Amino acid sequence: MSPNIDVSRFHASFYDEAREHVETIESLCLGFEIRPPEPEELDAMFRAAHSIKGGAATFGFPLLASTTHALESVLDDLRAGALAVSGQLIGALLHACDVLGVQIAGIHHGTDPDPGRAAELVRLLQSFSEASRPASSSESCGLFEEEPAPAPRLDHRETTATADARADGGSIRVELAKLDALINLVGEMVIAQSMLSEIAVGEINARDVRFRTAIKSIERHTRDLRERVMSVRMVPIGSVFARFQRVVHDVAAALGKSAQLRIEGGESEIDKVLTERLVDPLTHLVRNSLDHGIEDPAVRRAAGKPEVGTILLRASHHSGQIVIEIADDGAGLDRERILEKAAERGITIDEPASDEQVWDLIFAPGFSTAEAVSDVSGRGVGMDVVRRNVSALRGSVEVQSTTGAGTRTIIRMPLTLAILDGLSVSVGDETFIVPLTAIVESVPLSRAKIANVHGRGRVMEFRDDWIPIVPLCDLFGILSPEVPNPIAMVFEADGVRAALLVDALHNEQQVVIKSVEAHFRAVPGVAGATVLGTGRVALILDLAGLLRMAGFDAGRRSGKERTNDHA
Amino acid sequence: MNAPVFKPNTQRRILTVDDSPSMRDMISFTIESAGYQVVVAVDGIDALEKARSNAFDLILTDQNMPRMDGLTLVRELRNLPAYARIPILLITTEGDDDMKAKGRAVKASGWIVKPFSPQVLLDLIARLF
Repeated sequence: MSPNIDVSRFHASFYDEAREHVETIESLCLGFEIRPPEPEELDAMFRAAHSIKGGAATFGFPLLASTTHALESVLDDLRAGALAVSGQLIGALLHACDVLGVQIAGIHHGTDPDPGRAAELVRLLQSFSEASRPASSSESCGLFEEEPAPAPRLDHRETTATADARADGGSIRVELAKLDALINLVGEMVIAQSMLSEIAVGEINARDVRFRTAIKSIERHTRDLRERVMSVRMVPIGSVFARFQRVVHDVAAALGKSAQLRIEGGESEIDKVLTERLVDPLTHLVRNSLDHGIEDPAVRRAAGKPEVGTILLRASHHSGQIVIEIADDGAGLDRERILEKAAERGITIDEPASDEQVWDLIFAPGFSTAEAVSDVSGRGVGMDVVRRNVSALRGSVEVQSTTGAGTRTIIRMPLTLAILDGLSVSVGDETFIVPLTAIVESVPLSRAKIANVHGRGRVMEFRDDWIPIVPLCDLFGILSPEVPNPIAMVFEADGVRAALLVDALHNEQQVVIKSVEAHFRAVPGVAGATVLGTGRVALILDLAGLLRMAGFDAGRRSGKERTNDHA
Repeated sequence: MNAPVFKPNTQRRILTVDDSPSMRDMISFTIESAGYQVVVAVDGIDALEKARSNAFDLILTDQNMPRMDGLTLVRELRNLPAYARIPILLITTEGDDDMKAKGRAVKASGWIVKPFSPQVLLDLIARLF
């Protein structure tokens, strides 16, 4: 038997692994800026480079192997104490991470690495390393003289190992697409199960204890199954946070500031899909903190603060949601400046306004307090985009700030996009699902105080404020006969409160979200669809989208004294 | 239907130890396709646990691993009566005399230097059995 094994089948797994190793080197390296390295950290760094080198050589990436060899030599000297950590060295190591990152990405995309760039890096690394070690010797394998006599054949009676064969330290890597398919199937099963339960209610057989027990147990197992399957897709959010070490380092350096990143609650779990979509908003917030929050070192010293500013990324779970905080110990928001800017931009606010209301202005479209568009945060993206991105993930953003002490942005999001806790409501013959987390309160319209505002339609008094009423039937063109007692469901989306007018409220339920966009096209005001237990399709409302459709979005602030020019 | 290329009752069991998933995959795929049975471990500690609760005909271990490296693992295994004479191969990136001396000192049976081709590995294993 001489299997002709094509090593390219292991490329995907090597790619993932090599990327993780580069991230390890990078984040350890960034840590050395703050405090001297621990021996274990130097070992871990060396091992990471060593593993990339070994894999690269084995799987047929000679340039990656030789580049990593140069890096490994430097790390070996560092580990042996022959080389001391310096700013220059950290810079070179980070540069090495970048070059390796590109080469590794090339494995994934099937592009050839740039030999010139690699050679340049090798020269840079060699300028630190005492002497370049030769790569491995040519003698590739052998047996020592004291070779033990061939072992006696083993008795395999007690073997139990097939079960743990190929176990990967208790975990295995699975393609996301496979998990998605599984989740989708479970979703279908949940729908089928709820249809079954619904039918069972009306069945004569329902009196049969065995039938009822069977239905109950299907219900229970389906729920457990769904929870288990969902949990498979959960990953620690720390994997996202870790990459901000580099962002903080690079951006602070570019701004001539000094800052460190602290991470807390990195073990909190969140849907893998969400982690990717959080990167942009978090990047923007972290950059903002560095650009506008953290002061220049001289200013900080004068204010009696440590010269090195701190950015904190913290995650925690709170009532079925994940709460992510991005905090800095910088200057805090400037109330006067924000009000001035808002006035310039024609964004009005009721006076006297609380700090909370003022801070919320920064989320208005087109708002930016930067004196000049800077390289760092002025990328044509404002906080309005952050809020929109987060609300697309069914989350919310709020800002807290204390002048002189810092700013804290809080993002609250569901743990997953695959299922939703919703309330079913009806308008005419249609049933809609409203995300439960957005609902503030529901009141019969007859008990609410209503007023008509010229050009703005009806508004309703709610907790000492007037909020717009969103007529769902008008927006979606639903013909619905006047119901005797409609309900005003007060919700909050994108930081705006409004009331949705519906005919009746039904039950709270967990629904499996199906994409409308994937099967039809994106529909404004609709976040997705689900299949109800009755077999009917219900649309899941995108409340922020409805506000935009109705013209009540964040750019046009609330208000009884609205006198601005928005039509 | 293809006839099986090996007879299950003569299957030898090999423990392969490496912290790198891709190396582990490559090595286990190679030796499995040659008809051996494979159990993997992710570092020295994991390997010791598996070696204590199972029987193996051969152990292949990487040298550079977190928690417990390959040389330490070989030394520990040789202290266990069941593994005193079982062949153990050390997989290293350095094939220099220094590494060979260390390997010999802990009573490893042989060494193989990375990178190696699947065939080289199989040939070396064949020399042991």
